[in-house]
Amino acid sequence: MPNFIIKFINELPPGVLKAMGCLASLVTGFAAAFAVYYVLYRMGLPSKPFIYVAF
Amino acid sequence: MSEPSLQNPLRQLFQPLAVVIGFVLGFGLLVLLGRNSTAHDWHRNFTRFHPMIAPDSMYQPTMGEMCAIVRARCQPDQVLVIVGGNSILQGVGQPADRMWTLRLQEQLGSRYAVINLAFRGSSPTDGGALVCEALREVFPKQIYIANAAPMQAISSIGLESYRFILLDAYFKKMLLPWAPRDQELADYFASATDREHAHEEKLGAQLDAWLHFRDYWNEWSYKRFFTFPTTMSPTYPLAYASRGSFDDEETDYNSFPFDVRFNPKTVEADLAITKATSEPFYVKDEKGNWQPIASAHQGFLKTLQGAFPAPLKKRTLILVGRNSSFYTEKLDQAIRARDDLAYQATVDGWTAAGYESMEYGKTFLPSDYGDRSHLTSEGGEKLATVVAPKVKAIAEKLGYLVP
Amino acid sequence: MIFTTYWFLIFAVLTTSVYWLLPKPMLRWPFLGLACLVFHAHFAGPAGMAPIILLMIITYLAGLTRNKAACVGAITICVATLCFYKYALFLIGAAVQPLSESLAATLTTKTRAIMPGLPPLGISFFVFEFFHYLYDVKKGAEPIRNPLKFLLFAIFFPSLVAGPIKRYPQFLASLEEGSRKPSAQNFAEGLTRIALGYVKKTLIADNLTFVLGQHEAGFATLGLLGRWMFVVGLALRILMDFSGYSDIAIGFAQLLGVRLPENFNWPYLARSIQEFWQRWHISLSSWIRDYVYIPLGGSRHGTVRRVFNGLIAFGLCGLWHGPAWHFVQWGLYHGVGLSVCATYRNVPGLGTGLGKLFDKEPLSGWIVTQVYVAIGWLLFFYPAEEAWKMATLLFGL
Repeated sequence: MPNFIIKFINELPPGVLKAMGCLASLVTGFAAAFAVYYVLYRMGLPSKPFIYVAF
Repeated sequence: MSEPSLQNPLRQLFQPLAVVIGFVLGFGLLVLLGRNSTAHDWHRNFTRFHPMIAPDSMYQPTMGEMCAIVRARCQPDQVLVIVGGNSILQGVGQPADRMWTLRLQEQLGSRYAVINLAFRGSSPTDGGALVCEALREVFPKQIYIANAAPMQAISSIGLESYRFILLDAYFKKMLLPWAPRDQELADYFASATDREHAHEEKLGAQLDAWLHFRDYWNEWSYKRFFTFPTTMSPTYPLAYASRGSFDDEETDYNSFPFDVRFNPKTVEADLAITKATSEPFYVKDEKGNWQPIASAHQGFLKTLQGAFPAPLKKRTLILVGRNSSFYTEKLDQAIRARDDLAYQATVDGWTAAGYESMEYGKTFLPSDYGDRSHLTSEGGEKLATVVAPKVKAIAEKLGYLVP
Repeated sequence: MIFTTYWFLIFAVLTTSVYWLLPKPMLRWPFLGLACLVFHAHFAGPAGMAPIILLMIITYLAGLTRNKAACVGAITICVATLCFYKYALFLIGAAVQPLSESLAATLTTKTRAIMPGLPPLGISFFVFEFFHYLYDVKKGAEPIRNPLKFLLFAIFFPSLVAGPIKRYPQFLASLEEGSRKPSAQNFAEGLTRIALGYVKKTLIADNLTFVLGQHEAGFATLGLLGRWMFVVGLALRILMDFSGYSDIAIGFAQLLGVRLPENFNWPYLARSIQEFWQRWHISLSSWIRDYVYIPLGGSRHGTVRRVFNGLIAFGLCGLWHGPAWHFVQWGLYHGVGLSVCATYRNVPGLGTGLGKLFDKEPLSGWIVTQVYVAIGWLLFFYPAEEAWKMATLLFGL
């Protein structure tokens, strides 16, 4: 991780750090849920498409 | 990527409980969004399920989505006419603005709402049939139209490629209780060639009934972007374009000269198919007369009993289409006579089983067909002309037109 | 792919929920053991379960004796079982067919008749874990006495199918510690890891698989840039696929409070082949190091022996991936790379010069390494002749 980001995080007031962390953690959790919700949809699709042949 | 340990600054930020809460709340929110996604219709310019919004391109319409399409296009006081069946009734070879179902709508007038929910390569009990059934209480004045081949055995659970629609409807409790269908479904799960796949489909449908992920992601795929390439749209950027951005670009059979449509290679194969249309069902006796093969006829009639739930039979119209006269004119008289018997027996069989049925195409011209069985726009117009009076007659018979 | 089935997801959610809802921690291990058996039975069937059950019993009992001969015997049985199920047909083709076609045909028919359609689930992984266990016990490590602990080590469902390859001391310590009570930390990290794994697998790897499939046949007709992009895509695909699977396994284990070993650590940042193998499929490469390379003598007997040991180790590493010559060739390719990496600085002039260059400009080392690895993937995925053709096309030859 770039040093300036480490420095920035270390210099944040504790309250702000906690709030940012809470928000970032919530967003991370939501992102994980979003990914799992997508996977539920994707895994149900067939591995090959339906191929229509006129007859 | 795996990192053996998070760097200290990130560890300061990371709040495990918040992540878990975010996950649970996020998942719950998505489920709610999924449930509500089909409260409105997102198919802006719906014509029919053309390949880019059909399983051909890995887009699997959901029951909720299809019901929303219907609710947006049919008023409560209208007679709902859902056209199901396969590519023939979908109007393959007819451009979107000249589909036969548009002509049917014109001929029926504003008291009816005609919606094309046919799927290529499907059977009468797939797709549109289930939507019609699911909306039986919302639109009690309804007629379902599908097509079938002469003496075609019909499965109450449709074809495997469209089983996902049945399972969707089944586990969302949208269907009438119907024992023959339940039994056929149970038999399918017990004896499917690929049992693991069948059970996975079932589990997926059960989960989706609670979590509605397919509705959510179909809306996303239709409105925002599709998430993976398919054989129908293999390259960037089309692969990821929203499915709603694709128009119904059905080929117009009329754009092909007649002799290109009916070229020697296809003619030979299709002529053989045409010749064999009624072959499995009749045999000549000593006097040279065609006699029905009892087992074949009984087999066909037996399937009709369980094909559709009993209360829905009388509002179901099965069209039995003739092959193009381009081919039938090449058959000898005996085979044509056999075909006549088969078509009549098919229509009689459906009617005796409680359905409505009619055949079409015997008087159609070769130019009304784009190939052996699919109609051009002109053929479609003729089809609409012969079907419309039948639909009106059914509506009247069922008391739909009484104010 | 087992992790991308609804059955697995429902099973994992139910197992994790019941596991933590059990009122007494001492009930958790028996429940987990039962769940692992159910998992294995579902995906492997009775025929597929028999080998692991049998080998489990043999390994457990042999370990208990702490007898060297018993351990060696059990190792032999495990390895022989792996060779039979996974390599019998390959070995018949490689060793017998050149001598006698008819004998090879007869052996192949007889072997196919008694062999199941697929090798037992996870055989490459559990045999390696049993081997590690028996080897360490043979050398004096404490065996697992509790049969339930051994069962859990042998058949732990998150890692059974595709790793990571566990080491029993770390696994058991983690299991003991982690099963006491649920931890928000484990849940948070586990969920995030699982989600990341699925994104890598379904969103990135599967999409890349399709794109690569579209261009594979026409590789020769692609421009130079297109060919390199294809190879980059190939490299990215296998990383996303494999590391994604590992992430899912590690994530689900973490939900149960168990820490599995890491398997990938940004391998495409490696600046040498040595570093690459410290970052790629770490659990396998460390196993090969500890149970093949070091027992052969490692680097303790001079440069020639070091190179030879490295080639053997990596040849076997390649063979582990599949019963085909191109896997062996891929392994040897990396064995050669490692040997060069370990010795080139000793070459006066060119070697020392390159060494100085790589020290001064790490980017140059990175480029050379990644090009070497990328070309190696051609050998991994395609038969040698085709891989060679594709490699030459990469350089416009």
